[in-house]
Amino acid sequence: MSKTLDRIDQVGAVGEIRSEDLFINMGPQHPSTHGVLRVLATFDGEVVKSAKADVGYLHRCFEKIAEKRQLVQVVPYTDRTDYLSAITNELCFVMAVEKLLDVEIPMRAQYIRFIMAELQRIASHLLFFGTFALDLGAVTVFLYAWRERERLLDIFESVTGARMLYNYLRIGGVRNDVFDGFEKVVEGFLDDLEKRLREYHNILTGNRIFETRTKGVGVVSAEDAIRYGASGPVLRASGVKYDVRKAEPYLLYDRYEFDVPVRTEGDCYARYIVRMKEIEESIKLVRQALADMPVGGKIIGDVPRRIKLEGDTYARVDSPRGEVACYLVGDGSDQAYRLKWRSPCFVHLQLLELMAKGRLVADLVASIGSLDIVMGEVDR
Amino acid sequence: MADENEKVEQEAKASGAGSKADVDRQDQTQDEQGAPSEQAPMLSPLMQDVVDGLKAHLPGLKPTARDDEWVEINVEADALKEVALTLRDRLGFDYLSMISAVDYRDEGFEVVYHLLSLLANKKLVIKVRLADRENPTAPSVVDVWPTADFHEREAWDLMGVRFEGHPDLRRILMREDWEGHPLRKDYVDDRAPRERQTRETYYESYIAKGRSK
Repeated sequence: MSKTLDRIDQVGAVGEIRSEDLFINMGPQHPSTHGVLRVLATFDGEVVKSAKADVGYLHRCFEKIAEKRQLVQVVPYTDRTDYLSAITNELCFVMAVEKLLDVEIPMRAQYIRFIMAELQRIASHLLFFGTFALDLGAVTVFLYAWRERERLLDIFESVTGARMLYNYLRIGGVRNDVFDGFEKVVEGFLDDLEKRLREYHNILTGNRIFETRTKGVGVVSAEDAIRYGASGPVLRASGVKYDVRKAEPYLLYDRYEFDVPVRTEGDCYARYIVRMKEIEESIKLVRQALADMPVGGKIIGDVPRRIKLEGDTYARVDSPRGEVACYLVGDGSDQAYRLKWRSPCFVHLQLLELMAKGRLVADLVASIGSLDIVMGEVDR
Repeated sequence: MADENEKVEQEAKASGAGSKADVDRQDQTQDEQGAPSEQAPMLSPLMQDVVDGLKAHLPGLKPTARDDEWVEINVEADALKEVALTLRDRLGFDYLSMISAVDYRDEGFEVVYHLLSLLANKKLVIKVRLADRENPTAPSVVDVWPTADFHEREAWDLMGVRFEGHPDLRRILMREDWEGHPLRKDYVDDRAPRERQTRETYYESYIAKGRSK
């Protein structure tokens, strides 16, 4: 102790104490950056002075490839943008094409799409639940979340043949019908999940350490959320009640009853709670849809043999991560003339500096985790 | 901030009771499709609201109603900044959903802005045509909607549209030393194709490298 004081005295005698900002590259290979996100951060001691996201390490020219492929061939590429919620991405692209072609989708296919999309939301939020806790140092939660997600992936595998990248939606409907007894299996899963959700809240939500790590951390005000184009759970956790499913109902969202969970704090904890509440709402939606799902019938509509895409359209979908949108331009051929993809995480990364500035390093990790970033979608 | 919260609560109430209004709106659009021969098609109340607002505050523009609930306006590049400010401050378009750039070959580029008004649920598309193929330039809207930052950088990176007044217009997805803008229709990747490596050639080059050291 006295030694340090002596040294400070000595330094003071020669000149004033020098302090320097420390520049650190966080990522692109770093366990808490969910892939290959690079954060250019400067620190003053342990306090973040600036944190700029640098993206592009996973750029795969999705938009360029989409211009060179037949429309059906684009569907698997949309899977790979946001690989944790592939169905909602497929849905966005397929909806854009259907809007231009004016195809009517059979009721049975609508229900299958609807149920799969909501199940996908549950799977994605479960993954968030696990990885967010893991980011904060709670390893156990990850295993619990994985257990439930695994069952869900089994259901997806039985329906589509794949666990994560489905290539399941087709222009005008879906590729194949669900297996016999699908309703029962999903019902059973939902019943279990509902019980388990209580368990999850017991293990994490009331945890003192978890609360101190997340409450008041990474705050985004409602004003900033709108200005910076936040969407989905991030926007809703900041107190703005906006959901594409309510504002511009697609599929069957105008038929069934569900709430849009909103919190006003805008911190990491609020984003966590909103996502957990959304799981409950999804359970509600799937149950309602399963109850009156039509039996039999067509699963793909009448799509013209010769496709001619003309004009432009903008299709929007509420994915688990936020608003996924697709601007599709056709020039009269059977391929997309231009496809522009809106990825919510790409937009959310602009919030990073706002959230982390003036906070500690550990809070920067929590902030990234609470945005639920998928780099495949950011870089496309 | 208190204002904002109040608005949010109002919105919450409105959307709770709003499902009925939505149904009405849909009925109306269906009617519209049923009678396409009408001279002036009936607009849904929200679209009418947008069109009226545009006529009152920006009389020079000619809004067209698209059949998917979006209202579309064409704006000259020089006027964009002013229009954007009016739209945000007077007409409540507080949310920029996306900026897309499209290459129309000889007709130049088009920059498309999709705007939303979150609380009123209004939708508007702005299209800006840039005829100059050599050096397409549009004014930046970063100071109107900060979210435009990444979108504009992406448009510059992949399409080569320059945004004047952008604070930090760098490449975002491609490498910093990349040449050309890959999403342009006339973009040619003229790098020589990589020679296919077999096990033998790979080891040969590996050994050669080792020796040169």
